[in-house]
Amino acid sequence: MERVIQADAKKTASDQELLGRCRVGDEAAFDELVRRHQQRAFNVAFQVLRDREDAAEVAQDAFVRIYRSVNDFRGECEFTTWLHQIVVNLARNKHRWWKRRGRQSSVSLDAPVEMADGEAPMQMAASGDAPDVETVKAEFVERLSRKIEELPRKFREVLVLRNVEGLSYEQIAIVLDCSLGTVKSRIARAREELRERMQDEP
Amino acid sequence: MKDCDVIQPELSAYLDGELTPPQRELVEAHLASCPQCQQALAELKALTAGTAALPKLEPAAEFLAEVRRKISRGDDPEALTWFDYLFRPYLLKIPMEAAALIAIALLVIQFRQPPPDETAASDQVAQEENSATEQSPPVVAKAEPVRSAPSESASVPQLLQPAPAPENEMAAAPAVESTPSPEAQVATETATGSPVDNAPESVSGNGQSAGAQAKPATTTGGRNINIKFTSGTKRKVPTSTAGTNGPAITPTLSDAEVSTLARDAGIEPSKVGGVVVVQSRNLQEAEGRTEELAARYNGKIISVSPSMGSTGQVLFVEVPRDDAAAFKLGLQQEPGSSALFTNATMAGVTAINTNGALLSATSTARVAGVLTSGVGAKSASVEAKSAVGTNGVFNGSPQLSLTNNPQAQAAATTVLEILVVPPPSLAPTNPPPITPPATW
Repeated sequence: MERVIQADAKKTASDQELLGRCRVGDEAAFDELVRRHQQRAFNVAFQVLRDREDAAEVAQDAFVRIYRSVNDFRGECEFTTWLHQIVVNLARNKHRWWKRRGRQSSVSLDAPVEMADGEAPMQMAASGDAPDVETVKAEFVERLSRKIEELPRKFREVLVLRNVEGLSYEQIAIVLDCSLGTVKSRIARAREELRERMQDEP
Repeated sequence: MKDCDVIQPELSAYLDGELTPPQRELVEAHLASCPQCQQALAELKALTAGTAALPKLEPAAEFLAEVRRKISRGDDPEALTWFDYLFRPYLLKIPMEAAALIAIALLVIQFRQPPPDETAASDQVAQEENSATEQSPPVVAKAEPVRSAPSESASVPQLLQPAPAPENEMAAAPAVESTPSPEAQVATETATGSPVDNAPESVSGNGQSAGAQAKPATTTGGRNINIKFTSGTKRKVPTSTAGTNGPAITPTLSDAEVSTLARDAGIEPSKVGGVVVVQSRNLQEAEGRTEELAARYNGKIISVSPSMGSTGQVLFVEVPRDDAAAFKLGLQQEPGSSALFTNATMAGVTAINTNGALLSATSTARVAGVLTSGVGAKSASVEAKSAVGTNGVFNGSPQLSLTNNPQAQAAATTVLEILVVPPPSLAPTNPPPITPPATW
């Protein structure tokens, strides 16, 4: 009887709870997991691959993978870390097989720009309260997006995991299956590389 | 300024709050007094925020439906296995890997069979050295005691090129034992008299011929007997020459001369399965010793060339194939039992090359041919016999018949060319220490 009550509280169920229900064959719980994390998976895949089609396929495959191996996941880490891990690995495979260079880089500027809450992002572009601050922001981000695309894949991986997904170094180390020191130095190098490229030309 | 180099790489982790407290304090202390690093940090912040502000893409509406479809279809996306790393993408990697394999195989083959150019080149060197050799003072072929040959200079064996059996004979013999018998190629040191002390290699198998050639320091001279085999392989008769400190000279016959001699004696040059170089001043004694040895091995001298004076003399000896090596050793090794070296107390290293491939081509191969093909085999056998007749090589050899019993093969004979050449006329006053002949 308590189960029924829990099922009613589905909306607020944690990822771990949803996973537990997936294990006992609750298909709805899996659907909820997909809905909850599909955008995250899709965006991480896209930042690594820079291709919408490939990103969608990788993100979908990641969930298929989760569906198949939900019984193997023992909750050693958060669900999102596990998801990131799968997405990054599948994206790597894709990237390795079909290395597409210079593929369409326009990251659909029509897409809404969601700023990370809290921080004042555009110090470099325009300080102050110029009326066209939004335009400057958009330009800056668009340029940044192009520059990120030029980075080596492993730099894009850490940047998206750290800056977009907000993972800690420790979580990134788990996702990428490498040491903390590697994460730290790779992020620093990625940012340095990006900074140099941003200084080059528009 | 120096601090900046240390601090700046830490700014990234500082920004992410991933530094330990002591590290953080260090960075903050530096930042307080370094506008440059403050600027760097500000740029980092902007980049980080900008990255976080990258447009978020909305997945397609049918995302979940697509996932479900893949699940029901039975998809199971996997991380790359080692197999994938090796072969994917197939279209790109497999052809490249195949090409690499082929290239490696070709390289291996190349190394195992030295290119003909190399052989030719070393032949040429041998020729040149030989021509120098032939200008040395003439030596009289007289029976007189000789001082021993200089040790260092005294010849060192050089391995000879294996000469494959003629192709036209092979044609009649489908199954050909083409590997030279291991004992067939022998390079030996004459232990008679005062042998030399530097006989680095006394025996070489077939596979070592390249190695032997690759030692110009020890093989200081050689002569090229260009007996033209059908297959075109040259046969070299190396002789001793002066190294750095001695005039050990072995004038020998030219290729054409030997070919002519063989032909005059009714022996096809290609039938000659080996060359033994014997240094002696006394031809009669050398011949006597050769005959005696040949008789011991059920062989015989089948031809003696006219005296060639100072350039030496050629004997053709027929011996059972299996005894060829022993015969050669005997010829070179037993000083007391023969007149060959009793008067000529000289020493020198000679080289022997019995070509095993040739031997088997003239004996075993025929038998094999008999077995494997009916009519053709018979004609092969007939041809063999006729060849034997003209050459006198296999005369009276009843084993060469339409049988393949082991004895038939064992009794097959070969022809050896014995080159009797005058020893060097100059020798050091101090004979070198006697060294035992190396093992075979």
